[in-house]
Amino acid sequence: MNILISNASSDPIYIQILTQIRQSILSGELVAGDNLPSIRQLAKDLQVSVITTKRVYEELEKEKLIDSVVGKGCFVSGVNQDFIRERRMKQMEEKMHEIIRESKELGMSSQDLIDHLTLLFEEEQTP
Amino acid sequence: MNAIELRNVTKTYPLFKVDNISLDVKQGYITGLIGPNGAGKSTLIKMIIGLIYPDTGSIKTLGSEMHNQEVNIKQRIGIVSDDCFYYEHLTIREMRRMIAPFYKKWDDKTFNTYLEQFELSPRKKIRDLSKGMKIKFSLAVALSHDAELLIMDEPTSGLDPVFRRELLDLLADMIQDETKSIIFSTHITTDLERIADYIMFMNQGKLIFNEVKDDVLERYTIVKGDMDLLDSDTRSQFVGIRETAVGFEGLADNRAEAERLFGNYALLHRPSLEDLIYYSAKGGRNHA
Amino acid sequence: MLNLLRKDFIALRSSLWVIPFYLVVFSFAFIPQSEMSMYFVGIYTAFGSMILATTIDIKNYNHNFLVTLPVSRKNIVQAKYLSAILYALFGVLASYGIHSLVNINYPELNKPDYSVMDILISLGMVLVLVSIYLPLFYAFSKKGAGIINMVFMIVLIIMAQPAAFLISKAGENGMGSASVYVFVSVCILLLFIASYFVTVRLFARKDL
Repeated sequence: MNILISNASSDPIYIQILTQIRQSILSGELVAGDNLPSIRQLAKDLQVSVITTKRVYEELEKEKLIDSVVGKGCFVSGVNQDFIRERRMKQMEEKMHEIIRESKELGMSSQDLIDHLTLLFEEEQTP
Repeated sequence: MNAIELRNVTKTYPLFKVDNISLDVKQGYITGLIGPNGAGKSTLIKMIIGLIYPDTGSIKTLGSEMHNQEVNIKQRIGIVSDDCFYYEHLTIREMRRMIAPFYKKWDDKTFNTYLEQFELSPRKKIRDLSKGMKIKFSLAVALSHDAELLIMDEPTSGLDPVFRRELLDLLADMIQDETKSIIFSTHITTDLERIADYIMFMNQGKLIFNEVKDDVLERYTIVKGDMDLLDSDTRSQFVGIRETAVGFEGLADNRAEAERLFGNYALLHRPSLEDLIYYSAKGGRNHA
Repeated sequence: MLNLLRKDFIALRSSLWVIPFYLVVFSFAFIPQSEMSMYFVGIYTAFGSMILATTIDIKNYNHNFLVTLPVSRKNIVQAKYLSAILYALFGVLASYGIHSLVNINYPELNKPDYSVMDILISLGMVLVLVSIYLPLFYAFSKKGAGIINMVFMIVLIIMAQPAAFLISKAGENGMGSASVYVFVSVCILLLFIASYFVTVRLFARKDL
């Protein structure tokens, strides 16, 4: 797992780290049972404050993406694939809502949108 | 246990006063102490290490007060200070021979490793060391007796940017052990910007705040806008403002409010610790 | 406390040659001149060594350095008083030794035979001087301490003749019985101990 913090981003560092770890888990780069670096080790590697990484891990735990085992560390939680899929679907739906809003502002009809989508979909199919 | 506890500490000098300071330095974290020159940071640190005594109030370091347990406390703390005083005519090796026997937990191997890492030759005389090298020597000593609390008073002013980064790694290493704590006073705030967990800000002898750094940087905001946005109402939002012919830049201490007032008309962004110091000193406004 | 003494020794090491140097200089200065030379050589060497040590301390901000080490202020003062006793013993005994040698090798100089009593009196005088000096030294700041050192050196030089006169007068008249000696010795010891407590008090709450 690689985490890159951008100075240019307007997001606070805590959000950047949270997002990137979450992505790694949801994309399957990190799988159930994988050991995450300790809060302090991560803080050292990223040269950020321990409290920042602590918050990230607390948030991830709340989202049930990781489990922390006292004395052993933090692990990607063994949630089932369905749950992950569900989360990703949700994320995608949010993006879809955005696209729909945009298309309305551009004055497109739902059919226009579907057509455009199909076009792009086919473009991506062809290597 | 808190690493350091101050309760109602006051120290009065003819022209200056450290005024009724109460604070906790949490164990297991890096606490930065920042503020403009003359804010009282060094005075506070000198009181914590027992170099000077408060007029009123109590100071507990690692759970005990200095006047009861001075030797025991000092066995467990490491001190790195801007004024490092050593015997100028002695070599590093001789200073080590002088210092090491005082510490029960002195570890020569660790000390030599640091000397090598900092590129300090044991045969060099103290008077031939640059300021930066003296500080590195102090640091090597402070880190070689398993200290639980590292107290640093302006350690980075003589250090080059290369070593300052290395220092951050050294500090992070120390904090891997959550029973260790670090307090670090500096006005080169870029060092603290990333790794500090807590920030204590002092100005004119008072403690302005002692909070989680992330929270502080979220709570304040820089506002940059046109001069005509400023009136007596909006001015009160700011801790300090810099006004020029081509616009103003100010530090507001309530981000939500500032966004509401200025959001669409001005540029807002997260402040740096240096902004906090600069605008507080400029504005002279004290608030909790 | 041993660590503090060792620390002083290490700090002083490169300057230790000054002490035998004092011995030689004072010996040449006083032996031919004065009947009471054993006293002068002993006391001046002892006190001169003391001032040498404290001067090196001042120059190197010794107290600021020591505060960072695990020692208490009381320990610091204890070590100083102990080293004062050591300097006193060294100075006086060395002076006695030199004078014995001189008596053997240069009888023409007609030095009196110094006795144990002379040693004890010299020691006593050093202790009195130290008892006054150390509290002053610890009470004052860096600059003040430097001035104290100078003042003492000047006083010692000025007081040389009058003191010698007094001592020889006292020697002539005889100091009286043993009980007077015991009384004076006890007073000196008490003065020394009182001085120690005063210094500890002064130094323990001093801002550095």
